[in-house]
Amino acid sequence: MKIANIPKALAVWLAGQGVITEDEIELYEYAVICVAFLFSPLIMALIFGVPFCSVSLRVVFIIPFMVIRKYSGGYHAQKIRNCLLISGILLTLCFICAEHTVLSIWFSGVVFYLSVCIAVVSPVDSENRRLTDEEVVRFRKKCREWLVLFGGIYLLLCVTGASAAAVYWGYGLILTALLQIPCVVKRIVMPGRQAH
Amino acid sequence: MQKRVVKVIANAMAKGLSKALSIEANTNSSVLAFQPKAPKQLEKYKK
Repeated sequence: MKIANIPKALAVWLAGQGVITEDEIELYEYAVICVAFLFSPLIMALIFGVPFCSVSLRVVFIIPFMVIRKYSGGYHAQKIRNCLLISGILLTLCFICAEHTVLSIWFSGVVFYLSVCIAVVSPVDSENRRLTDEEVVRFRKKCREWLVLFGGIYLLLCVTGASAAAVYWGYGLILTALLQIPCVVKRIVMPGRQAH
Repeated sequence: MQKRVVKVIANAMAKGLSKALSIEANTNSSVLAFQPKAPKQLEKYKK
């Protein structure tokens, strides 16, 4: 069985067991895909980060990214293959950079600046998931709340001397901001072509 | 006995997937750099 067929097969099996209706097969197929996507960044970070840092630092890096991106949105590739390639490259680059970054005022300034950018630009929607006006307001608020919390955690890590953790936590926020850049550029170059 | 175990597993999976749908309906984006197309039925999970 191809990997791409697994979500549909699982949904059909659930319908066969009588726990969902036949009308819900497409919905639960989507749900299976979403669950896979939800954990993929964590799995990818754990794998791609092997040459660079400990398991705990890989987890510290990916948590702010996973949470903030759920509300902030950002660039999405047209195909899964491209998505995985881009994600792998970006993760590797982030790990390489984090390994060679020393916690400093400059780095904290970059993290703070990019966090503000995320707060201003978010949420960024996509063609496959358009947001209503109400959702834009709600997700912007949620995104900012999480940014304040995660900014606080970053400061706490800095102040308590957990400099490696602070750097990796900061890079999680930086990666989120970087993935919004293509969307921001698109907004400037083609205004009015996107919903938000 | 085996049928009952399978049914329990199926129920647990459906509940877990339902929770995932609720999360997806009430957040903006996929975490990965790929956004699958949301089916219309996702609307019923929105708060």
